[in-house]
Amino acid sequence: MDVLQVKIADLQAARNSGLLITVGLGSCLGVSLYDAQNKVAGLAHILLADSKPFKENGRFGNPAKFVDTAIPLLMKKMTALGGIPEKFVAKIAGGSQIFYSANNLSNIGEKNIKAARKILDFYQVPIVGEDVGGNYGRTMRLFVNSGRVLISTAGKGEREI
Amino acid sequence: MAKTALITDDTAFMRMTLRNILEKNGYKVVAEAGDGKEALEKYKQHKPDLVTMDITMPNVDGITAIKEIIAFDPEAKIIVVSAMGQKALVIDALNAGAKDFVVKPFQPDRIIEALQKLVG
Amino acid sequence: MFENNLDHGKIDIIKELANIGMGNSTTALSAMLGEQKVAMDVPEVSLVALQDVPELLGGADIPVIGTYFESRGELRLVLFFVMSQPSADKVVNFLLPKETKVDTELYNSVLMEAGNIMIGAYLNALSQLTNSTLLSTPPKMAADMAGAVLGTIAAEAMIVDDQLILLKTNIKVSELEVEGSILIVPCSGSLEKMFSLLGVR
Repeated sequence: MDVLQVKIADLQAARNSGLLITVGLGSCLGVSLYDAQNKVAGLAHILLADSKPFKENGRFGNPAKFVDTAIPLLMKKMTALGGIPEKFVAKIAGGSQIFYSANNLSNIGEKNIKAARKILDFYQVPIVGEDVGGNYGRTMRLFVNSGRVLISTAGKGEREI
Repeated sequence: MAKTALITDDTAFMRMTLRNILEKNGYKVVAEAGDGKEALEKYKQHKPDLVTMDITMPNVDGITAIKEIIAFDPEAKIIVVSAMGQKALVIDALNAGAKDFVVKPFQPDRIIEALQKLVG
Repeated sequence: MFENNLDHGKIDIIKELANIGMGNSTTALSAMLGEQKVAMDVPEVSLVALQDVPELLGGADIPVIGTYFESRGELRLVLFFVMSQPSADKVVNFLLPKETKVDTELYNSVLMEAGNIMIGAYLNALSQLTNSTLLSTPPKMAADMAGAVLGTIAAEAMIVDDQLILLKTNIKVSELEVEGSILIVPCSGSLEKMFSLLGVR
């Protein structure tokens, strides 16, 4: 089986067969999109919620880093492979808080989750599965032929969403 | 009577280490604080003879806490115990009213020596 | 290979500063560990794609435990001291008095303080060399997959540059069988600031 690795701040799309995998989602959010009719799949590993502050200071770079730019780019890539946006369904995972500190706990993961809900809603892509939040990292696998998404966490085994 | 002390540090491990050193040398640790805000509260409550103060802490940092404690009690005897030994910070701390500055990591003797200089 | 106008002369300066700063960190660690010998590799300075940062710790799925700090004074740096879980266990056991009951809070606080002292020592040296004041945030700690930890640090510190200058050294405490790494990323603009503090054009 063809395995496509999705790295940090990266996104990949594929058609018919193969596996898309992203390892080590912490506060980062994994967003998978799937068109079951055309068997087109896409997976993104997203760092931050909002590209706007970085567009202003010219440090924007790769759009896969931000929820608001990664999701439309992933949809575009999938459309180029024959996917139809109206058929897309989403599954999301990650957005956890893995750092421990005396206080000042940040909510970057939560912001990512919220932003993804908003953007997916804007593009009318329903979220049909999720495993988000908590205080542990996740690995996400998306099977291109079926749209199955498996989440694994060290010490917690594997589950399907 | 044993001299009383307040220990201020954001990590439980360092509070424990300092408590062990102080108690072994005959001081009575009357309170511990995890940040500068708590240090001021505990100081007002216990009026300890001595205070150890970390610099980098959440909420209220050590330099600010020194100023606030000294404003409340100009006679407060505070020594800084911090990993940040930079010249400007030492000067800031001394200007704020700290009496001594011990850089982590330290030998227990160095802490005791600094405390003894203050309270005999 | 280096962008950002980094010629060999400047890379040498970064290396030398890393060498002195990280040397100070290992000296501090040695003092904490009862003057045990702590060996340090020559620091590496490299330009790394953000996407490939987890490879520096052996891959995104490698379990690591580490403490992370940001310096927010005149120079903005992200500093990360990382070990394997067995190494962290040995450091914690060594630093706590015998028969201490160790709960998660105490375990974490030992590692955070060890990181605090090492990173403080690095910043103290850099402060002296650049004649600037470098304050650090309180420590944060995580034990998870390298990818999850490093991705979260990048997000927390808002490191979104596609290419990063990264300083890295490995340290080793033979007696205690402890190995770890120090990673430092100067945030956007900080290297230029540092060269100007040093009077390097």
